Amino acid sequence: MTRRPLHLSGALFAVLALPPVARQLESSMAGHMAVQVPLLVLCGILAFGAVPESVRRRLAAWDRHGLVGLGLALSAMAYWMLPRWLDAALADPVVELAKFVTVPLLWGMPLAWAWSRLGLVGRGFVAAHLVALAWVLGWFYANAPARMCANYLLEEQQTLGSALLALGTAGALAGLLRVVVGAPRPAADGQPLRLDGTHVLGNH
Amino acid sequence: MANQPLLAIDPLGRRLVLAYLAVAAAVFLLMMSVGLAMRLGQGAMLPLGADLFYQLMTMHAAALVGACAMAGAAIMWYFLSRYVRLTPAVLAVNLATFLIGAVMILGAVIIGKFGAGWTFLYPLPAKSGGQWEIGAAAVFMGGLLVIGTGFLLLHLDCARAILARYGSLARGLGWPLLFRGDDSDTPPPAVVASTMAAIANITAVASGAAVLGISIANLYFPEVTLDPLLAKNLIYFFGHTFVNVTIYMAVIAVYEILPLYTGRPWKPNRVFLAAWTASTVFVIVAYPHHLLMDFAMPHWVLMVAQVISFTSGIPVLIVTAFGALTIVHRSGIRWDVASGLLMLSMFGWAGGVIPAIVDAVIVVNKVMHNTMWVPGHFHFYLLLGMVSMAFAFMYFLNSEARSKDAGAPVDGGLDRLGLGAYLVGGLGFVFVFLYSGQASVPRRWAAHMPEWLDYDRLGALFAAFVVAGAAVFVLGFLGRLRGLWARA
Amino acid sequence: MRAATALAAVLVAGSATLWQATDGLRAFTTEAARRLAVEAAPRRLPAATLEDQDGRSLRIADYAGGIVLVDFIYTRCPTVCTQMTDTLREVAAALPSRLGDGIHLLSISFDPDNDTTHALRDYAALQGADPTWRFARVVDRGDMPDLLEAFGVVVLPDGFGGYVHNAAIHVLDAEGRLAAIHDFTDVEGLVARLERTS
Repeated sequence: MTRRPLHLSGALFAVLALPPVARQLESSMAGHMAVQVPLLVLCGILAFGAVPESVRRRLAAWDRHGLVGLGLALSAMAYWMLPRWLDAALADPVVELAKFVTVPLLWGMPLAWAWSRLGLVGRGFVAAHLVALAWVLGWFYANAPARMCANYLLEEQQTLGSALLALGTAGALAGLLRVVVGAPRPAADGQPLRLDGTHVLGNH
Repeated sequence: MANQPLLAIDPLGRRLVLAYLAVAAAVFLLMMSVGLAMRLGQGAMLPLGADLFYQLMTMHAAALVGACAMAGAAIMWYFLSRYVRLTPAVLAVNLATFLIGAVMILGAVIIGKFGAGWTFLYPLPAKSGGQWEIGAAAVFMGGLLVIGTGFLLLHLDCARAILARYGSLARGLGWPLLFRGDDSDTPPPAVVASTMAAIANITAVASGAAVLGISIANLYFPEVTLDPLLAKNLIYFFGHTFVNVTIYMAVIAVYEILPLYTGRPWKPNRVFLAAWTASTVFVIVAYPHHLLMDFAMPHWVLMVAQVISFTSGIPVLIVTAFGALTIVHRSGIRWDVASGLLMLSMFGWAGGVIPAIVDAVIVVNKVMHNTMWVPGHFHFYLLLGMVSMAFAFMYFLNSEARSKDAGAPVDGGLDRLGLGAYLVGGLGFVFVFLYSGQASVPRRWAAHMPEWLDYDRLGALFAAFVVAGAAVFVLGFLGRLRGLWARA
Repeated sequence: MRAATALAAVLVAGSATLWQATDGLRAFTTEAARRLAVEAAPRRLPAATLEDQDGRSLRIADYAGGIVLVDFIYTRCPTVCTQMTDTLREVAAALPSRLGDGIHLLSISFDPDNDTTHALRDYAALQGADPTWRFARVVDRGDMPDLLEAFGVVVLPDGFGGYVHNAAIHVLDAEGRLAAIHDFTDVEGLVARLERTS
């Protein structure tokens, strides 16, 4: 098992945790929610790459289809998307610390795990709903007349809304493009690979 | 096309297909009767009252969109599963979500008195004028969301199975033959059509989920508004595509059943594949013809929409209708109710496109779109085209189960009488709509002016024929269901 | 079976955490949370010394035994501050007999640099405020952060020389504790509360 993902993850985490970097990113709502938090998720995803095969096998006994991991990741995601907890992270160092710990550990890593177990149907389902969620939230933030966070201006909230709308659209287009043209040929000579009903393309 | 043995249809899948059809058939008959009641109400022969009329209209449309989707999905799944490995569990989940969603929708209409139309056009659901509570609108839209979610899973499973067998959806559409002349592994028509349905509906349901989520949020946070024009774009992108795709799923019945009757295989060629690829794009971008009256739309979008709408269904329609004719021509085909309904469906699809094209001309649209012309168009297309395919499939399943020689006629005199009633009633019904539209009778009006009543009553008469014909088909199918279930 | 148990456990734990994190799906924002928290447990306030538009010194504790409606403003505010002032005026009009006697109005400026006692006097006159309504500023700037934090008011520069702040009407009970927070346009709710607590 290569150690490179762990090094990358650690380096990224260290940079994000530097007080000036954190302050800078948290100074705007979009930087906080659309840059810092996703990068912390990425830390978790990268770190998951260093989890050895033996541990994964033991995990799989508990969570063959990745649904437990998905439930954990979605819960953590929902938690850190609540405006009051983003506010609290700014005001309270304990909450800020909790954010830096739980976003990689309870959101990023379980997400990477779930993704590695989910079949194409599960992945597509999650992706389609994330796109829809980005659009709904983007619309909400772009149009809400009241501020959701006590610490950010309305204009920042609207910027975040537009960013989420753009992100959702980009995700939708990327997904569409990928399934229509991007997937690799399963076998060289046109023979089907496996027709046993397993999620061939959803596998690791 | 690479010759390979057909896969056996999973027994659970076969039973689920029967369950889909039973649900769809029951809804067809019930909601056609509701349609008859609405025509009688407009003809002042049944005192419905405006509130009840709009509730019935909302229910009629939502339920029939759902039933068409279920019937289309049943046809698609049944035939697609002969070529790729589908997951019966996903088919079961979609049945469950559909039933949950249907109960929510019916509850919202019957108990909650929701009557804003199935298109839930923003911001109407939030502005009931006291006719329904916010909760009823939320439950209605939640029901649509649940149903859409189930179909998302179903199409994802089809896409997964096609990817597993063919490698990419582009190959599922037959691009190697279309662009490189490589005929080594060309997919059969059922795979091509299912690929198109997956691409269109996954996109449509994702944006539908977004606009439904936004609309539900708006009910509870009315101060967070949405650009109504954007909402209308999203709603029709979802709604038009979802309805339109039902026929692209159902047409698989034509590709699979007619060859069994004539013994001539339906082999995809470059023209066929080009048509399906073109329609895949068109079906996604054709929706703005619902917005031709919205002067605030950018003009170039409307102009593109006009052109695309002319062409959206036509490629597939032509290759299918032409293909059907060449397959049937001098084949010595046995005519029975199933093959008759399939040919009627070709006519209904082709015929329904003509008023659509007329309505898609912007100058015509400005005066015609809010008249009975438009229900005339889509009933032509759906009642005679889509629903005929579904009924044909129900007869086909019976004949397939009864005889090794699939396609043997198994219908009796009553069935043929039913076909006659359905044909005469259906044609008369849609032509009364079209003629009323041409005479400027508005659509979506509960109460009609005295000079329109004759049209309404004539329409109701034909509707009664349709209901009678459909009753023969539906009751016959439900009666045979137990036997089909046991054989599955 | 193990998988189902694990899934159920995660779903239960996730739902419970989210339920907890939103006070039972009632508070998604900091503002909603602070209102719920104050309703559940009235909050003690720091003892800051203020001075009003006439230069008289006052403390919140001076109001003990009476109910005080407090809002936070700055006098150059072109938007919500005026609306808050309107709300307080309408509430006062609905209960004219008891103003100054059991019920008091207090507007505190969070911009003591610009809002001198003189500016506050002008503002009170401009708003046609009742003479018992006091417009105050902190005497010692160092008291400002604690005061704002105790009330849960967050003030941000808007980038145009003014401020953005969460606007609300705060109700202090007879013991001088922050006991309720109302929307800044909620005249009816405030009147109803005052009638209940009288």
